[in-house]
Amino acid sequence: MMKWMNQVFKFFGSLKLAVTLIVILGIAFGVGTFIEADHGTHAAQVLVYRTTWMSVLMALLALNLLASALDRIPWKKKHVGFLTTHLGIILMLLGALVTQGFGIEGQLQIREGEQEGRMSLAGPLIQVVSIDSGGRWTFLPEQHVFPWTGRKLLDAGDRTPFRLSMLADYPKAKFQEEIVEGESGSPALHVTLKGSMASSDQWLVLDDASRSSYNLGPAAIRFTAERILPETKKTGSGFGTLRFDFESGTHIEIPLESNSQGRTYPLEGTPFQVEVKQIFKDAVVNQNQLMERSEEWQNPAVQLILKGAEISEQHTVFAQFPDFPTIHGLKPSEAHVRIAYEVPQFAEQTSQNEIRFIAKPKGLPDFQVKSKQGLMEGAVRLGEDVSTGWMDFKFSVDRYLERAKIKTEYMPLPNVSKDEEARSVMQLELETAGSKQAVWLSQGEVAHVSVGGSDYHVIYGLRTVPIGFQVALRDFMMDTDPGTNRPASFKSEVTLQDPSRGIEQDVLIQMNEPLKHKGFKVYQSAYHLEPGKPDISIFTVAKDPGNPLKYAGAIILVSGILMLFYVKPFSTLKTSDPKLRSR
Amino acid sequence: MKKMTFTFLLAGLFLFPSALQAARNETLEAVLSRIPVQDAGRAKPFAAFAREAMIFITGRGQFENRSAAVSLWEWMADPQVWSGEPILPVKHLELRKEFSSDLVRNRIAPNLVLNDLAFAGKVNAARQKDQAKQRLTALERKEIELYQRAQLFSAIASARAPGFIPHPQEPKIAWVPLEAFTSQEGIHILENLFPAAAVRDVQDSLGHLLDRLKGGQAEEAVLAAEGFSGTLKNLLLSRDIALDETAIARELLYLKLKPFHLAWILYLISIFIWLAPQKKKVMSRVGLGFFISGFLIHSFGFVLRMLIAGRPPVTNMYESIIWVSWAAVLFSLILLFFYPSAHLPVIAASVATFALLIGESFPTFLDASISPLVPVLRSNYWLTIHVLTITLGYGAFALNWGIAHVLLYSLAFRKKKELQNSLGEYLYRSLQIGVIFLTAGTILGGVWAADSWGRFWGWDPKETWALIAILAYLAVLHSRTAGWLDMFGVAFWSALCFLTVLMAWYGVNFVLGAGLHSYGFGGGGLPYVAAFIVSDLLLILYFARRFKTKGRHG
Repeated sequence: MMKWMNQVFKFFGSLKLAVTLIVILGIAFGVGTFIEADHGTHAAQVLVYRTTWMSVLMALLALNLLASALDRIPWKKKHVGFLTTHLGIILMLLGALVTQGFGIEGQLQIREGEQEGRMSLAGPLIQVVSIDSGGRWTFLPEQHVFPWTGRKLLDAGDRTPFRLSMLADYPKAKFQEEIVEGESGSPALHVTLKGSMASSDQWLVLDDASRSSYNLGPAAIRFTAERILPETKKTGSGFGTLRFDFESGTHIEIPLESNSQGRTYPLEGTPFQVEVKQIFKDAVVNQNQLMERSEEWQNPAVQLILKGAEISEQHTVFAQFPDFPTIHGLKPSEAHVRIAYEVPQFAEQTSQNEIRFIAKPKGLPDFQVKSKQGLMEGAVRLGEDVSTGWMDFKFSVDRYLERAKIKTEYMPLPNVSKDEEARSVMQLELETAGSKQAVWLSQGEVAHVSVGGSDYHVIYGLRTVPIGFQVALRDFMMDTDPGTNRPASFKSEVTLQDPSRGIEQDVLIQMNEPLKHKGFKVYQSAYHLEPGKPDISIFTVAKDPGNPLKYAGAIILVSGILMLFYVKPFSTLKTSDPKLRSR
Repeated sequence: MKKMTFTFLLAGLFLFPSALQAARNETLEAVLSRIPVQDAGRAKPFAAFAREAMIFITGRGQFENRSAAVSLWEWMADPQVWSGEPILPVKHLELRKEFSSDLVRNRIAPNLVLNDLAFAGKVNAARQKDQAKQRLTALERKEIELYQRAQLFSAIASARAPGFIPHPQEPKIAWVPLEAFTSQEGIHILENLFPAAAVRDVQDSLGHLLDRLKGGQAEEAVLAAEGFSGTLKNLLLSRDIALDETAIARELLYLKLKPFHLAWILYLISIFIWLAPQKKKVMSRVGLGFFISGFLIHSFGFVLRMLIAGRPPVTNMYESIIWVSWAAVLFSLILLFFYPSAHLPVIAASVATFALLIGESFPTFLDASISPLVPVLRSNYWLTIHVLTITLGYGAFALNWGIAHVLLYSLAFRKKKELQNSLGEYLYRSLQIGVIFLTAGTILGGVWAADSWGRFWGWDPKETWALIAILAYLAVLHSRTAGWLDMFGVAFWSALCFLTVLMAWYGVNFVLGAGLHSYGFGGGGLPYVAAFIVSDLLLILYFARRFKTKGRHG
């Protein structure tokens, strides 16, 4: 028995085990880095670095180091180097154990002017809130490493009046829309626009507010039932037309003539009337007054008064500058109307490039192209390129559906995808006796679900924990290298608030200079800037109580190696091992 | 004896006339080179900008035997003519097909690239894809690159880059390029910043210089260039803008001296002297003289580069190659102190020459330009300690790799027993040095990470591969202690272990392309590195086979 025990001990302390472990660990780590490159950090952690077998290997390594040290009892002076080195490694492994047990890392996202006291962790959190009773249940499923579909019942740890199952879990996915032929629905067509400066392709769906038109640069592409009306020569006088576009949808045009000045016109269908005060052929602003500069049509403008429904507004409308505000001082019109002055010679400036597809009761639609050259029209033929007349743009329609159905789904993306639209999504199913409903949720989203006569909110978020203090972001700053847009440094001015210790102080966090408080390090890790919105600064918050052990281990390890290699009395190593010599 | 060494040391320096010629008389190149400009986030002499731009645009340090600085000015003087010259290299085969009829010696003229609407459309599509963070094909990357080359050419030829005139009050904003002198508005802007007379002087002298260059009157162009540089200086002086002239001069010296080029030539000479058949003691000392002067020049270049960049130069692949080869030489000198023998320096000189040659042979993906640091590295103290220590470890292993090869050779070809024994000793010593520095450097990286990111170890690929390299060499050390490996085994496995160092050093950035150490990322060179690894493996296996069949010790 003793002999057997002794053999086991010898095995655990053997060099053979040491070298075997070193080689296995090296290979495993190497595989881990390739998994990380191909499938992302989370995959490498779950599949290699944070597995049970990795912990077993590490424990074996520690055991091996310990046993080989004990094996050499009684220790002599020459063992000092060897023992110190191994003690150093054991301490570092212990430090890693402490980190695994008590270390924590999360993210803190703060908008300028706001504060935050909880950090979000990597794991997903699902909450179901009953709208009727206010009841709230929390589920903490593990996120899958790879896109997963199936059926998994989730457990809230307490009784729930429903069953919540996960049907799909994609760590990264993108929302995709597909237009397919359906049983009923509006006509749709797929148009491709090609040019050297830009190109696009898009489905246009008739009678669909968000899908019936889109803009590409200075041009609009529409699918409607109405044609673009040819620009009729409005009255021969050349005095042009006043156009009123009310937000209610009413459009009224009033042709002007030489004798229009001073006249009042009713605006039919509205409570308003308009008095034309003055028509300018060549308006200039002189001492804050509009004056006529010449008799030539150079800068046509109309001054008018809009009256009725207890308002009286003076507007000045320029033919050449349709986008100018028409009321002095940028006030919006209380009549909710846009007024334009269209004079034939200056019509060019106001016309916009447009491709319009006009639905017909049967068959393929017609098209109209409006450009500076005028209006062109024809019947759509599938796959045929049509020049638009704007730059070198050509369009073609390659598919047409009589009854289009919009199918939406999430498409899983590779874990390492850098697609900006990529997000984590889950499909969840809420089930009560006799009734169930499935919903897709992307991280940060809330869905409303109603099953068995009860209404619920389902929330997919991230786990959060309080950090024990508050961080308020006062200002986020980014410096650039001189003469470039390249960021040189990121800085966040924050206020640290810790009422429990009565602390309120301003701190500057920047690269390599974290905020340190209560064992946490808060460091600048990312940012999100969007014009017109407050800057968001993103910090990573980490606490690693294993560090002191690791530092101590590191110092002991390095001094041990130095002794082994260079201090003969403390070393068991022979520089010129007789076995290694050439004989 | 000492005197002799010194003489040769000096002789080494005088071998390189280019450094001295410039001092004798003013050439057009010299005058133009000195003018300070702003580019890529810092002020530098025009020569530095010209070199980088030339490499980017043409793929070479100079084109058609003209210095880069003069070429760039000729482009500015005659943009129409030059934009029709085939100067942009097209290396990608599919891309060559696209331009097949326009290529001259596989080069294409910038205006053909810029005016090709179909090509512009493709580049635009590729860029949109890139912005959407989708993966680009090799062809798409090359298309964008070619377009960028053409665009940089056109920016230089039309004087939109670099910046020549700093803003008197706001030193941090982009300097005004010479394009300003071509339009009324530009001159107007300058006249708001500077006295009108000084602006007019620069405008006149610039026009004069461009005329001379256009007319090909090189002699008079020198005077015109001096005139331009003088009026430009006066313009800046008129608003008390003082540029750091010593910094400019220092960088010019660095560019002229080419210290790393010089270093490998000296190393190579020392190798030839040592390997020469006659065994006179004098010659051995002479060899040592060249070796040490190479090392001094190498160190001097390093210090210069550090002063120019304002940081230790170890932040990209090029700089780390320079530093690693320096470290290999340094460790050989330290070992030489304990084991006086010519073998060590010959091996170190070979490793360093090889590394430095690689460093300067691939300017397109081993970028030699000095550029500002990315934010995460702007912590000089830790950067210095962590990165320098790690790369010192790489240097020791590079030396170890060289020694392992020579030892394998001597074992396979039954060289003298004493030689094998002493090589075995060096092998072991260099391995020790490498393990110490790589371990300490990796731990220091952990300390830096813990200090600024709150965690000591995060399984980042770079740190993981450093650990793997340590483990690999530890396995060799332990097997040696256990007696499982004989001298051949230690040499064989040490030589193979260098592959893990290559992976940590190069592979993580260029092959894996993931992780926090991503600032050093850049494409390119993989086929060369793969070819190198394969041929090295074949060589090692050949030695092993010969050793097993015919070898053993002398």
